Amino acid sequence: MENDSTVKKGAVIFLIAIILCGHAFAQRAVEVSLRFSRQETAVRVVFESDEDTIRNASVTANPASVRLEFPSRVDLKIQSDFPFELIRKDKVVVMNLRDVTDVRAYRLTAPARIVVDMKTVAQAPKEPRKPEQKPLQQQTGQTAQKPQEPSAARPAEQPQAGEKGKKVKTVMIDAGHGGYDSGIISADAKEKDVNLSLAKDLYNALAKKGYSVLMTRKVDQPSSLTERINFSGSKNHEVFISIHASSSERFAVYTATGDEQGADAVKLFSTASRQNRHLAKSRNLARVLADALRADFGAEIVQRELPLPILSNMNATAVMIDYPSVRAYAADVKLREKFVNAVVKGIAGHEQ
Amino acid sequence: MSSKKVLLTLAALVLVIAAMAGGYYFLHRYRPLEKPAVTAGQGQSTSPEPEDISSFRIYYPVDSRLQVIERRVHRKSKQTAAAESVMEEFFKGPGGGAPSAVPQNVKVLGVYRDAAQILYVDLSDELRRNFQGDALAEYLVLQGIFESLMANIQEVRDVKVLVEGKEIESMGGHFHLKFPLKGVVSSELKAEEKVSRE
Repeated sequence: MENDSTVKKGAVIFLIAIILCGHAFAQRAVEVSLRFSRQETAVRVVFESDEDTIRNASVTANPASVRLEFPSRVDLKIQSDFPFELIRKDKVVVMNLRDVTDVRAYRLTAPARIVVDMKTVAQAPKEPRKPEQKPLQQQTGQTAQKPQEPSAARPAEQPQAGEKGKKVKTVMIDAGHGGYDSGIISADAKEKDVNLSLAKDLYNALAKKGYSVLMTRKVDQPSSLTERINFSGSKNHEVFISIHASSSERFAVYTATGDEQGADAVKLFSTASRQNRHLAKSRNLARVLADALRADFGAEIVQRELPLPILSNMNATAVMIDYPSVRAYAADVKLREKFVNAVVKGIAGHEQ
Repeated sequence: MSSKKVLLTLAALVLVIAAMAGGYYFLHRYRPLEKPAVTAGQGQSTSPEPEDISSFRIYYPVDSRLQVIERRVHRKSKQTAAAESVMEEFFKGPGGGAPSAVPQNVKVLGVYRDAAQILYVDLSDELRRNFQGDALAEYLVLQGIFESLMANIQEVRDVKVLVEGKEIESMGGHFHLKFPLKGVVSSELKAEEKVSRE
């Protein structure tokens, strides 16, 4: 009898041990240490772990975020004062970056590690606050006339201050393409030129209405997606509008792809968290703009979601508008005016 | 209960736990990360295929979507050579007069695979120079490259496009090309919404 009881006790202990071991096995997380070093315009982040984990990890890096997918769940040991936001989900670690202009990731051995080198923008000393600028109309004394066209000489980041007493909204306009990147070419017309022309007209029309306006480019110059994203990230603005041409004969209004249907690893990366909190407003602006364009042009407008980096990385209400024909818009001033008026109406109708 | 019975029960429980652990391990470690790949030779054709011919499923951008077309090419034993064939077929375009954003005269300069199973596709500069399209067209071309390779080449985790051996910022100015394609094109396109109501 005593023998039976001992066996039973032993069996229960053995079972508990097996269950605990199984649980520990299932939950086993690989330890990954995360450390960083910083110089004036560079940050180095190092993920160190065992060789298998590092070899089988996949890394996707861009100046907005770095995403690492490890072969198994990881237990991150993070150096204190880590400078970037970290999002962890099972095997995936995403670093949301700030003020990064270039990023490189590579694997090294002995010890096995993934090194992410980032170039950051130098922190400029804060300028003393300037007195409020007068509206452009008052500066020129030509209140009834068309506002002065934004010149290349004036820095693109100088916003136009709004009228006194009016709730000022800052709008950033992005003229797509530029420099060696012509975009769509139709006969002699280049998309980059038409985009810039429309952007300048929109700038003037919005400034006239009292908006503060910023532009990502004011001349025909190359400007990479990363540069545009970084420039936009460094300025405060409530609305971002990117202007491009469509390949089809229809207007299209794009918003970033949302990830509200389950933030799995891929979606976690595809929509940067910056745009996530503005998606509802971005969709509302897209709807209002589409309605305004339809009302003025009587045409069918396509609304679509695309994981466009210029929208996904935007910390503001952000849409991209594609107008239908580069050739027609290059040649027809009235068509451009009609487009600009519809966009201004759309922005005015959009409630922040 | 005799000790023999207890030991038998114990053994049975250990077996059940081992089976559950095995099932867990199989499902979580060996479940394919991507959707099931359609490997060369799994085409839907019913006619017998000569031994040296493979069928590839190529994803062509046509209008505002990807259209899958089956292409037959000489079988390649090496996966990187098969990937080159897939890309060559892709850049021939869908044919049949279908309008497509696939840039013309793009040459496949090479395909390489690294230890992390990332496929590097080196293409000629015509990819950038001859692309004429909007954001949707660019998305579909990149997605077509990615899906065509993932569907036909085994054990590929991601695809990276190089132009003349170098990373470039973008093909058409709307999407990053400096980074592997999975993070760029893996969002499922939702149907477009047309605004035409009065």
